[in-house]
Amino acid sequence: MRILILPILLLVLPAAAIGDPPEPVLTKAPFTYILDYGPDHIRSPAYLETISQGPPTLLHLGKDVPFTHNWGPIQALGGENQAYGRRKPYADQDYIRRLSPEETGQRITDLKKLADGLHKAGVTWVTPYICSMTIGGHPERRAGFWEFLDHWDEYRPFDLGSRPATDPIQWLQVAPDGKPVFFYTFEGDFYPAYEPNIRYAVCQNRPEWRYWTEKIVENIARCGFDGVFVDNAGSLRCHCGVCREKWQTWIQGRYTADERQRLFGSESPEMSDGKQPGLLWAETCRFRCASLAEHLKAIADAGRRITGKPFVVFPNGGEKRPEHILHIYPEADLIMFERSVGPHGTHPGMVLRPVVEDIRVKKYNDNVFEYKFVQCLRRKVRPILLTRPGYNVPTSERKLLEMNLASAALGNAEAAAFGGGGGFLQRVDPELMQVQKQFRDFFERHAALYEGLNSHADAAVVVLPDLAWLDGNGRHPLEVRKATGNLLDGHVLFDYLIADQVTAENLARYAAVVLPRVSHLAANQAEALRRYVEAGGVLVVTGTPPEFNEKGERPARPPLADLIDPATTAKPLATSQVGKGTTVVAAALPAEGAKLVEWIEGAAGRQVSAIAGPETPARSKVRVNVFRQPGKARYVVHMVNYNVPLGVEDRGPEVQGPIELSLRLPGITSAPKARCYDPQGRESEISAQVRDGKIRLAIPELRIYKVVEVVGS
Amino acid sequence: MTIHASVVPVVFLALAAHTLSPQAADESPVLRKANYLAILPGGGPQRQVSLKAQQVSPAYSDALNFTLIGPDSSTITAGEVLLGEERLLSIPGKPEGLHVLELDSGWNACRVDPRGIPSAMVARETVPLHTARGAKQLFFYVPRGCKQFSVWLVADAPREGARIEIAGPDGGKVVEEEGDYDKPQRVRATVPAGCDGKVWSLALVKPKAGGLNVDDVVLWLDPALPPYLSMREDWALTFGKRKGDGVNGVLE
Repeated sequence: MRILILPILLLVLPAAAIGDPPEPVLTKAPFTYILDYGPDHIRSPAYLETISQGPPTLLHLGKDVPFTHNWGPIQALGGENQAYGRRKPYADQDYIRRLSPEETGQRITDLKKLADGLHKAGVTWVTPYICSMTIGGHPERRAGFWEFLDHWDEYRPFDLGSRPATDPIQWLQVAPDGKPVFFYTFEGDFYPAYEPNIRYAVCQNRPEWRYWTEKIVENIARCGFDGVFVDNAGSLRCHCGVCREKWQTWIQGRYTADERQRLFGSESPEMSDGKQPGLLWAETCRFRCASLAEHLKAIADAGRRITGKPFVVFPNGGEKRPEHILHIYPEADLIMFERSVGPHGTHPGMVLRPVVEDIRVKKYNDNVFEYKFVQCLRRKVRPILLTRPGYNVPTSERKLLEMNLASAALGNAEAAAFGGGGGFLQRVDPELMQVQKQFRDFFERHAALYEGLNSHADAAVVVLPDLAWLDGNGRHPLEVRKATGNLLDGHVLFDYLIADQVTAENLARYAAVVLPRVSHLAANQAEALRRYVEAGGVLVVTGTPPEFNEKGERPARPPLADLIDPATTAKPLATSQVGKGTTVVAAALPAEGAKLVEWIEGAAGRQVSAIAGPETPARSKVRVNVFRQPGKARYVVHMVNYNVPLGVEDRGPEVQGPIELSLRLPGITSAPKARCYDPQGRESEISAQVRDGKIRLAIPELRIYKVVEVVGS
Repeated sequence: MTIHASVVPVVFLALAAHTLSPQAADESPVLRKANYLAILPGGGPQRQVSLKAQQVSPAYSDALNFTLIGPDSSTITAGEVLLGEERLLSIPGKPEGLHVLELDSGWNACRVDPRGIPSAMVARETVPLHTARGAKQLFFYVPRGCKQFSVWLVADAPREGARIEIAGPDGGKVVEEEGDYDKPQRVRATVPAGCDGKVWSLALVKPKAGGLNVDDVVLWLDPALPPYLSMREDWALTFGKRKGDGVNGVLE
């Protein structure tokens, strides 16, 4: 038996933030998406027929793969990490029975037919499931992954190469005390879904694990699949020897010896254990993010080596982790937000919840932050939303929160309007698939409405995801959500700006900039904000103004000392003139309503709402987003009506209208051409005028979604 | 769009973190997460309820968000009470009929004092009462003919539980039970002869058994009872005799 001695030569992670920011990536056309973890896809003409009735752009399957990441080649198909993790007598079938090499060959034949059949049915990308870090089995009983490893050489025809030299027990993520890290803790002798085996978390920095990951991906690519969904793509908490060694290279590339001594108290600081927020924890997390990004790149490269074309890498891990989107996923193709739980489920739309007697409360769900944050990064990655009625909700609750035909349309519309090329998950349901088909047809027929654009906005919200590590108190992201809600309810066009984008040049594009409960701010960002305000901008600061710089140091003067009089911070709301501009300091931002818009309009001395005329609570849930073709007087205006009831009861959307749009569209000075599109309705020319420097467009009614293309003459 | 909240700041209490103000007469227990107060303004002149937002821990920054919903389910007023503040919320006299005040304090806490306006906390399975630190006395109506009813409890945080004391119309204890209530658990009460068609009460207190504290408790009444828990006995009667909606709406 040949044993592969994997080179322990460690890849040197690029120290973050080297050089200029990358060129902004413009928008792409949205796409449609189905996730189907069913186990019965191969040798099934019926399945291909079902998909062909409404093929999505992207079809995400379960472990329909030759070699699973966690067990090797096994009998079961479909499912994710937990599903089909047992064998007889612990399950009714031998799900994790190891396939013989002959059976594995047959499996590949079947999977090739499946991939080919799905492509012929109209699916563009088929991506099965792998996981970034899971193996299952038992090292002493040589069960599961260990059993497969003991038979490694029998699978030589599948180009696995040499068997890794070390035992997988040495690949595990470990805590500082050397004990294995379990992300999914369990009591007793086994992980329940893997009975009688154990679920382990492997370190993505271990060369052996990366090698195995590449081998499973190569075999997936050989089946004709277009990419992989990578679960747990942000899960790394390891302190193993490999990580510690790579960490030292990382931190030495980021700071001089003097800086390390000053900032961390040592020239060779160890990784933080996360018990204290601060710079060391931030750097530890950035290092891990870079490691995980490297792991994803290895996956993409492995697929591309086989197919000779870009291989879609589609990680999970966006939900409530904007810091990971920024640091791990910007160069992935897609990022999934697994939004499973919310007070009213997470499907977009309006929840009508009975309270008592005949009274119901209206609640709205949206995913605008998720879509828009990814779009505003202007990187390769595109957002995907998974929404649910919730987990384990009672039947009566589920009936209120379930997706229906109208809310499925809203989901696709939201992805199109805010995602800059995003997608919205639907399940395999013939009726829902027909809604999806309408949208896919529309996206593909009208790709020019979506591609090659940049967002156009009057306001910007500064989002600093690294604060999750630097201050760790969670106030900033909550405030960002509030600002988002206020601006959406007030119909204000806005962008998010991450740290690198807080430059004087960028800020000059906006009438107002919001700094929501930011505790740390770099000197160059503070200087950009100072120049922005002095030149006439409106800066809204909520909560305690920043006191620290980006390294967690408290400078002699607070970063915004030139803009904020300390005396004003004791007041609930204070407005100051600075140069030609205005600074508004507010103790807090209301979660609902549009108070923020009042402050901005008061300070800017002009209306910033994109919708003119009287407002109602229902109309406040009409969201507007605008994109511009760079260098042209061509704009695409998206209008989405969230007054779409969720639930199984057959209620149509609360149609809004007429609605008068009032938009500041630079480059258009006379009546432009305007054409209105609706994926579920007709196209029409609409009249547009220029009044008071704004373009006025009247939309007679808005059911769920309309797109208006406005072109200056 | 702005929904104007007709709220008047009265006192800035500047509460220190961890401190929750003592309960005033008619005041609700400490509430966390989303709760619903049913209100009967009565058609007279405008009146006010008092809302207090209290910080439970420096780790939490959620303010109290409120929404007043009218009899037709429309939003009359919505707004926010900052942590440590008390605000008076105006309740218009019209429209008449049942209103609901949604109180969402997130991970922090709040109290509401209806200041004489007949009101009751809604407590049904889909809209339970979320309390913190126990509840000294809440009144509810046991309809005529009711032989047995249940109160459901959940206190799923580690080392937290509750002792529930259910008292009949004469104030005598009918049920006393305690536990950790990590999962939803029903506490059954049998209605003695002559005690139906009357107002009962319940209290949530610290368990006598060592090691358990009373803090976050979710509570609801089973469908045998009207879904209302009032801070006053007369209000419990008023709400208890209302025509219901079929679920926790008990017709006599």
